[in-house]
Amino acid sequence: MNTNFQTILNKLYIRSRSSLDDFLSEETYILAIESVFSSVIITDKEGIVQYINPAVERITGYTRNEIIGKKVGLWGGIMDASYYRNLWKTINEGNIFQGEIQNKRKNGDLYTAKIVISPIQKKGKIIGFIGTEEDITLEKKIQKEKEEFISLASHQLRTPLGAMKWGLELLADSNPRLRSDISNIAIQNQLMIDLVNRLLIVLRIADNRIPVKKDIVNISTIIEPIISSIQLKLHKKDIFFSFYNPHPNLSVFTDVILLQEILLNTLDNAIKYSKNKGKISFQLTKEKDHWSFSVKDAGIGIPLKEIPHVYNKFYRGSNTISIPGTGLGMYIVKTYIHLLKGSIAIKSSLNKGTKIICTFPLK
Amino acid sequence: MKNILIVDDDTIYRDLIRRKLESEGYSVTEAKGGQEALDIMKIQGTNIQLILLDLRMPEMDGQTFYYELKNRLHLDIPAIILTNQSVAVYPSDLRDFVVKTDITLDELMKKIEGYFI
Repeated sequence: MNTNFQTILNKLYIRSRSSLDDFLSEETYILAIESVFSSVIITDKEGIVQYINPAVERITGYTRNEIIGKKVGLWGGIMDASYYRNLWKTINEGNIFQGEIQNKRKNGDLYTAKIVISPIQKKGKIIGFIGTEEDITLEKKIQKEKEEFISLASHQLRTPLGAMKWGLELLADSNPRLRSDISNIAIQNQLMIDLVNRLLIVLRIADNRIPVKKDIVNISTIIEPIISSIQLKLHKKDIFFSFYNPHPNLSVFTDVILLQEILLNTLDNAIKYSKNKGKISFQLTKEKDHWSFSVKDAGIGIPLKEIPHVYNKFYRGSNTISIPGTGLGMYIVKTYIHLLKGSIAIKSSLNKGTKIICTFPLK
Repeated sequence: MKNILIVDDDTIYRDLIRRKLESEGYSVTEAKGGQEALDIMKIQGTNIQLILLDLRMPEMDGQTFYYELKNRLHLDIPAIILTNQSVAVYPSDLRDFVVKTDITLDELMKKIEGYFI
């Protein structure tokens, strides 16, 4: 039993056991790290490898002799120089680096790993680094196959649905007296298309595969195409639409695609649940460090008790029976809003209308 | 002259689009895949003003066909991608991009008309 080792441990932690155990000796401690399935690498502050556990040999294919005493990176060098610059900058500043990395085994095989590197601090100074590396190549392969399957399945489903959509359109063109019946079929067909599209998104959300790419963009360039795209639907129901934006030159830091989806979805809902000759108002406001938009309609509204449930997958309001819908729209909207670090609030009154307010940070 | 080439491996789509285009006064040539489309373009290339191009086709896909068209046949003909893929990234030289299930034939016609002004 190494009492010096035990003393150090004791100083670091308040032990709940009243007497020192023989179990956690220095030897056991080292054996424990040796048994870790992921790679454990300890370097000095210059990055010279001081210790590796057997997992490193297993994963990289290099031996202890080849690694110890040399600068870490024998199985690296695949990534862009900026990746390593960022890594070293992060840990040299005393922060933890986490990320995915491509590395190369001794036999030349590339593999993907999840790495976490932490600085080892003693009395406020960095004395070295400890990193763990987990081989996630198989996981990545499975994810890629899942994504390819989803892509193929959605394509296979969309093909007949798209053919039906256009087939019905041509049928209506050449049989104007049947337009109304054909329209009913077309609505159901569109519902299936929407369902396929949305299920695809739901699957991606479940897999954390929704990319978020933020840029500084002028809000008008985001909103204008959306307003254009809803004109036809507004016209069909003779809805009076007003848009008030007191900040047309407002620049926001956001993901354009996600924000447009949020806008489109909330506006589409306002139209869908409005009565003919209804009224929809869309407004933008800006506060000190956030901005929001609100969409207000005078439609069928949401029963008060049901408002918290609208974000649930496949949930449809009890008063929406005659209106087709996927029940996935609000789930997706809420997810996207969270991805943009925003928030959503709904106010509604049955048969009077609904107001949705979405707020986002400016930066 | 209003000549359009449709490249799509799905017979039903070629059929539906052809019927719509012909009813609007366009003359239509069909190709079942990239290679057939290249063969057609080798002969008729200068007569075609617009290509409606599916991306996902067996043997030669839409992207490869367009690349070959531009770089081997040296024909710079505008193309509208018609696809059912939920592709977020598409070839940068094919900027016009339509998802078949998201658009009506009427809306597609308006887009196509834009290339003949």
